[in-house]
Amino acid sequence: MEISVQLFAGLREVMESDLLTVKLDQDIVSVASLRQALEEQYPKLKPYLSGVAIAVNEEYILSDESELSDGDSVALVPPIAGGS
Amino acid sequence: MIEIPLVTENVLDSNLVRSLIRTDESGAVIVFEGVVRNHHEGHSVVRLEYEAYVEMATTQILHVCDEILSTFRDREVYEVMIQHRIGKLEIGDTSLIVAVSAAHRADAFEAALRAVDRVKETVPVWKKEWSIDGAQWQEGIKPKP
Repeated sequence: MEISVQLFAGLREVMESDLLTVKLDQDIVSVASLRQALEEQYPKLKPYLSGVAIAVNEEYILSDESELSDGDSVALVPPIAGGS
Repeated sequence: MIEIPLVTENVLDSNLVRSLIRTDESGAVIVFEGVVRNHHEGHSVVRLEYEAYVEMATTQILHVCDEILSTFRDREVYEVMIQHRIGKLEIGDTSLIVAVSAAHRADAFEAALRAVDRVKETVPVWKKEWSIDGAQWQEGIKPKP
């Protein structure tokens, strides 16, 4: 399974890209295994991942056991700072 | 009700938002504006640059509106509307509008305050602070959905 992950703000600048592709051997991928694969395939992300929320289809994922499906829109949400 | 973009690079229009949320039952209308200020944690700021995950920010803003209406459903809060501006904003520009209409002022104030807090906790927006020394992303908070 191959998952595209959108990046924003500081994370986008650190990785110099707004989209990362993560390759996983499993057919069923949990958010926890996505985090692990991101860490392995993009070591530069490692210091940031613990502070990052994962969003799937524009919703925050609260459980690391949640499973991803083909075609899901996945994003890393670094600490947010909206408003004034 | 006419549809307006909830996350936009355009100048926010508080009069328009007010007209969209006021109802004949409303005795109180709050239109809160978050405004770009010239300082942050003791240093000066010359402008802010906002970035959003636009699709998700729009979805999360709608969740905040639903959440507030549901929380205050027994307290005659009628309408909630939230708009966030993105892009480069200068000092004095409005970056956020949170507007609430209710029968009574106490409920309107409380609902508006709660809505602003929930925007800050859930809507994926980031801001880069420009000062005379350059630009850096402002430290944010981990989302609390």
